Amino acid sequence: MQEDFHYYATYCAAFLAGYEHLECMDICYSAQFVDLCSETLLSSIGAPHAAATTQLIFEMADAGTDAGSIREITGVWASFHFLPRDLKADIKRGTKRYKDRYRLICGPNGELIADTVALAKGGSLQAAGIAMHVLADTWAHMYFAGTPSLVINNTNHYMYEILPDGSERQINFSIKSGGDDPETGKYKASLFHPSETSVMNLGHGRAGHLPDYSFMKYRYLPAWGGYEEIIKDNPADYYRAFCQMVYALKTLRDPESKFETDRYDTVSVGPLEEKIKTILNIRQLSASEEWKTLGEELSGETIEDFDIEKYRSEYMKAPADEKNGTFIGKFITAAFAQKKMITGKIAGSGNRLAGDRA
Amino acid sequence: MNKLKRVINVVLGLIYVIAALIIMLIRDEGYLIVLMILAASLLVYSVKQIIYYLTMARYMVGGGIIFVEGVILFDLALLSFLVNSIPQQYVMIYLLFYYVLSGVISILRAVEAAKMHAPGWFFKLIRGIVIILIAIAGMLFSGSAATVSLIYAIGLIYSAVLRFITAFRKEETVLVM
Repeated sequence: MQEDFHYYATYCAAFLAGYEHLECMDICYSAQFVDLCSETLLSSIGAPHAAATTQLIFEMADAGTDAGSIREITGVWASFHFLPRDLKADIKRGTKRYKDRYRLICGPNGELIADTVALAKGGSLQAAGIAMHVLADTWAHMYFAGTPSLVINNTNHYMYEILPDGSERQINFSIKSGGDDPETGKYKASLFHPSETSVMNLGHGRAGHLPDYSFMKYRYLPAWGGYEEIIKDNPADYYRAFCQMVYALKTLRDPESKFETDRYDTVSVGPLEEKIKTILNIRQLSASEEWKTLGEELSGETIEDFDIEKYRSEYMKAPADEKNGTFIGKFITAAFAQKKMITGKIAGSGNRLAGDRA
Repeated sequence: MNKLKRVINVVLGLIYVIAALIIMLIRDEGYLIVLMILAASLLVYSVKQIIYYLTMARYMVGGGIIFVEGVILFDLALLSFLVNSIPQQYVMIYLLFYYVLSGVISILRAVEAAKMHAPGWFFKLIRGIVIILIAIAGMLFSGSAATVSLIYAIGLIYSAVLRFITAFRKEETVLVM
């Protein structure tokens, strides 16, 4: 997912869940900041590197493929972008090394998303924003794992886009500079790399940004699927993600309620269903404008554009003992907690791909 | 490319240079030493690929190619251990055959990279073509064991230079996350 959903759609979800405009802004800012809070950014403001919620391309390119580096990569990507659906998935085939990778496949409505929302409950708005980023990505990044793995994340030539009129066309991947083009069906993707642990095989790189576009519907053979075809219907999945975000945010506001998986607030979202589905189906690379318009119609307030610098000086100027009280300080605290919990759960399940090892 | 991969390229380049020197300086037995090193490295790599297939890749869509690659290389490794009892020029031709194989692989990778408009495809293509030309030159002079050995050694030095260039050149990484 991208800024259109993590920032503007999250604003809409927060408003529908009952938050005030400024609270919505903090939540959606935090949700989007997850995609930008890299080690490089943190070091530029003197913040702890361990709170990174993403890795930049050059950070990834320079990452090693030793066990420690893989655990570090997995800690970031599985905790914030590819939350595993089932750490104990009952898979009969493969060695433990294979099973460890298979069990990191991302998907919605797993135990860990309930844990993630529970962790954010009673916490800061930044924690709520992080949880919404993680929740939304469980839908978008479904079927891929947040660890470098050829046997899980590879794709092949068998990938067809299903167009709105029902016709199909094979997707042409390229790594040529320049943007994706929905009109011609040319998309960018990571190059095939035969090494199991190459960062080229992290997440959905081999499928390009197809999972990130709300309009995209396609069928393909996931590397782990035993030649069984999967149809990925992003418009439908993104709509469910939105309804689940509204539900989750309502549970965060209400001290009495508890988040349960597979529940969606279709009642609050219902009156907007047609509008939202129209936005989700527009064949464009970013639907920010449409989501922004919807958000401003809902709240009657202006939603300012995302500005990565917005809270930087506040954090840098704050005395050491007051940094935790700043916007970024609260974000860092929540990010630490999320990463610690998820990597701890992965390691606790006996999986060696994340968490601290003695 | 991370630092470790750059170091590996430098080390491999140095190994190629040493192998070339061995062939040129130890005229009678040098090629056999190189052949045994090649056979041993092929054996290790092929076994690694077969184990990777048996434990992981056999569950992957299209993973059969890993097994095929492993078996072919394993076979070639065993063959390499057995060819030390035949005349030197035939052994050198056998070594040149490996060279052709690596040239073909380089061209195939170049074609794959070009299809995806990846930077560096032209570098791979030229590498593959030059390697094949060197191998053809070796086969044309197969009547003279000394000449074939020399051509093979030149080919190794060429590969070493390419490794050094790869290790030190700046490259644009295209990674989609």
